[in-house]
Amino acid sequence: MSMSGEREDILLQVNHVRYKKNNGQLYLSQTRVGWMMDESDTFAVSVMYNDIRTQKISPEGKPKVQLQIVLHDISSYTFHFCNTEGREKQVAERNQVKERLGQLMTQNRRQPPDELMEKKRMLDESEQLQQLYRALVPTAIISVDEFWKEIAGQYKQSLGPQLDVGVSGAFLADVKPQTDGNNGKIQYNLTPEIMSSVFKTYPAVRKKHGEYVPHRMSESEFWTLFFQSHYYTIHTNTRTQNVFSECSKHDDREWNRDVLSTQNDPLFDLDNIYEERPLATDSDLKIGGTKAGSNAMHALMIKRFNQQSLNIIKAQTHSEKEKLLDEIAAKNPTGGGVVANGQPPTTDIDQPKSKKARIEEKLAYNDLEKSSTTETPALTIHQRDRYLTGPTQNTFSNSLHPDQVVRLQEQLDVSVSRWQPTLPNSQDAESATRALHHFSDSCRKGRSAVGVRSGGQLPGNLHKELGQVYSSAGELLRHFWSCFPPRTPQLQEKLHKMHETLCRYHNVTIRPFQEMAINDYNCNSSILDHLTEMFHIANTKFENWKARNSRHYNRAIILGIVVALAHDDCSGMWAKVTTGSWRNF
Amino acid sequence: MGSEGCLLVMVIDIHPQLAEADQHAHTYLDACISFANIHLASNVRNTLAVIAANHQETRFLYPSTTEEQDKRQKDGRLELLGLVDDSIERELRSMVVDKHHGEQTESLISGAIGRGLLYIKRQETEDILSKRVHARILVVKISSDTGGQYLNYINNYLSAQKIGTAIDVCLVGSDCGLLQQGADITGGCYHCIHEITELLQTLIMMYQADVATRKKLNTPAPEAVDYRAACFCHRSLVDMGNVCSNCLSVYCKAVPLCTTCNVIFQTDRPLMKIGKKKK
Repeated sequence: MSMSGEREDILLQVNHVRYKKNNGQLYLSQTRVGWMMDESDTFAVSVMYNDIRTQKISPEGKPKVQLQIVLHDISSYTFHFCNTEGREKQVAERNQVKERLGQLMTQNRRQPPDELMEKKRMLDESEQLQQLYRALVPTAIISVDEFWKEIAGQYKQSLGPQLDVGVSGAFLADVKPQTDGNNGKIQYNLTPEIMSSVFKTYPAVRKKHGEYVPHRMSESEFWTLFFQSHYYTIHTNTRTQNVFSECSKHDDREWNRDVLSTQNDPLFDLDNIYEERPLATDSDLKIGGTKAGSNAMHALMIKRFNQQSLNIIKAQTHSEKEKLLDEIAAKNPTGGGVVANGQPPTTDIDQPKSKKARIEEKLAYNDLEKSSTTETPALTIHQRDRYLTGPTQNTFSNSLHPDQVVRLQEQLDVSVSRWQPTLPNSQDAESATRALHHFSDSCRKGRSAVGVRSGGQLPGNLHKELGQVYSSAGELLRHFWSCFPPRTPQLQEKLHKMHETLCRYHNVTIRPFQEMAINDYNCNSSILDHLTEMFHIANTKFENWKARNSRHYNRAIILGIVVALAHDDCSGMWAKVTTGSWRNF
Repeated sequence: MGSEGCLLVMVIDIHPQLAEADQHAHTYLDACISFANIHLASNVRNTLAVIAANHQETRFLYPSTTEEQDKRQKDGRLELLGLVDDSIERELRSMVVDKHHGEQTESLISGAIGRGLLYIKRQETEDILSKRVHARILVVKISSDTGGQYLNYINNYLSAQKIGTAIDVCLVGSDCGLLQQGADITGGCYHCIHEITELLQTLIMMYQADVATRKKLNTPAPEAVDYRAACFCHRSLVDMGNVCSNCLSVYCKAVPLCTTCNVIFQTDRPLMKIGKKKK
């Protein structure tokens, strides 16, 4: 297995690496690691990153500097670093290789398995999808990519929108500081996830980040300031002109707004919390509630906690539009007048709604009300007889004239007056035997259809297989028919492809199935008639379309040639003809 | 023949056409009454209702609406049977004597079926335990023309289908497509006999058993029912046609104007369509 230069670039090369007592070089590329002996030009060892489970290094004390790669199937390769320049160089090289290898392993491990895992998950979730996959892909009726693009794509669309993962409530607490014992320096480890959580929760911080980084200050300075700010510590240095002091003002304003809307909501019963209706002041003590105790620090802490929780909830429930409005508000953090314009209009609408209106809103259900009567125009019929007779065949043979009926009625009257019901003689024997003959004949005729009636009495296995064949054939046919009318070139191409797929499916699956049904199960040969008929219809439609299209094309070409020959300026006329409308031909 | 009884509603056609051959009327009526007796005798829980229909009216022959007199057992049969016989005979005679002059020439079978359905429903609601009543309707008909009662018949069929009542049809004479459709819709059995003397035997063989029992018997296979509609202009059956969206009248080819409800259709390319068909 050779690594050709154009396929993969060599990212790292280390000379003086021994494997199984032979000198050679170690190479790291995008997808695999390889080792080549000194005098050869083929790789003796080549391992894909996906196969590597873990790597190990020899401990510090050992004389040999080694690196071991362990694969999933427990086999391992050991490389001995023996650079002539000395042990430190060996150790440095080995560590370099180890770091790079680690990076490349995680890189390679992250991408494909995700896709594979997702595909596997989708197949597991849907039984139907799995059956379709098994029926179509292994038999090469449809290629894997096509399957995932067409069929699974439609299935995924039908699943609906995915939900986002929300922000964890303890995200700030999870940032555990590490202290360097010696000089009291506190180190915080920030990951991109924590940063995105902070941005989601505090849109104002995101705005500030966009402004200050990277031109005014670096990332680490920004985050240091952040952690020193009111967001994270209780004692803020108000002396310094802090980046986040504006944010804190904005946050306070928003907090007041939220608290006011909660307090003023007429449907909430807050008498337990407030002994008297508090005035809307900025005093932390009043908003924290009298039950928070008289300690101002406690009230401040509680307020900070509540603010953060509220922001986390808001981050999840805000729609995109409101996020935009919040950003506009965050852009103008100073000045009450300006903020008033930038405030999202929802709060103004909510306030005036009276208690009564809110209650009525909750009580009324639209679908329980009487549906509004729509005006329906009256149906005027001009020929009543036809309308009343309906779509029935008219048998004119027995229509009687009313006079005839009257006459017959007289006769009936006479007849009935002469009638004495003689029940024991109500059926004579001859007619009875005749009727019995007719009856038996018709019963016998009904029983004469030999073989299995389709659908009713198939054995279990055959029934299930027939169902599967129908479902996969149906799926293919559905894609085929959805291509009509083929207006765009992509649809036409898809149409050609689907037609080929159908022909392949017919040969690979349907014919053997039919033969199996007849030979093994002794079924009626008409068991797949319906399915083959559907295929024939699809085939004829495709042939007709192809013939019509090619006919148009041929006609266009011929006409174009004729016209071009008739004129001297061939090129101009030719262009006009080919771009003309097909329908005119 | 199950443990629960079945309510049989017989709809008997007493159209004056019966009188065409003298003997026929007697055989016909005797057969109907005998069948009613057989039904009652086969299971003690069976119940019966008989409705007669001619071109003027429909009437309940049993249970009769006029007062009943308790008759004593006279010929060794169950008293109920004698009661039924007398009631039917009495009402029939009075019905035939009644004469009005009207334009209607067809039998009012659809009305009788409707009354039968209502009777079934009433039995169900009047029952103390509100049990589901097993009921079926048997239509015995001699004239085959259904005339201008298409809508009534269809309404009846759909209502019967809704409440799960099978409508069996036994025709004497020639076939009738509408009744055949009705039997198919409601799950009943359709048969046509040509000799009136075979009536009772046919009734016993095909219509004696109720719907559940019929599945266990070896009955003739039902024929395929022709559900094709007939076009309004020629009254010929069509497979594909055009339907007016206003009054639902069927035409065999596209017309610019619906002659039943005078609605004008907008067609974009009336001529091109015919041209394309020539290819």
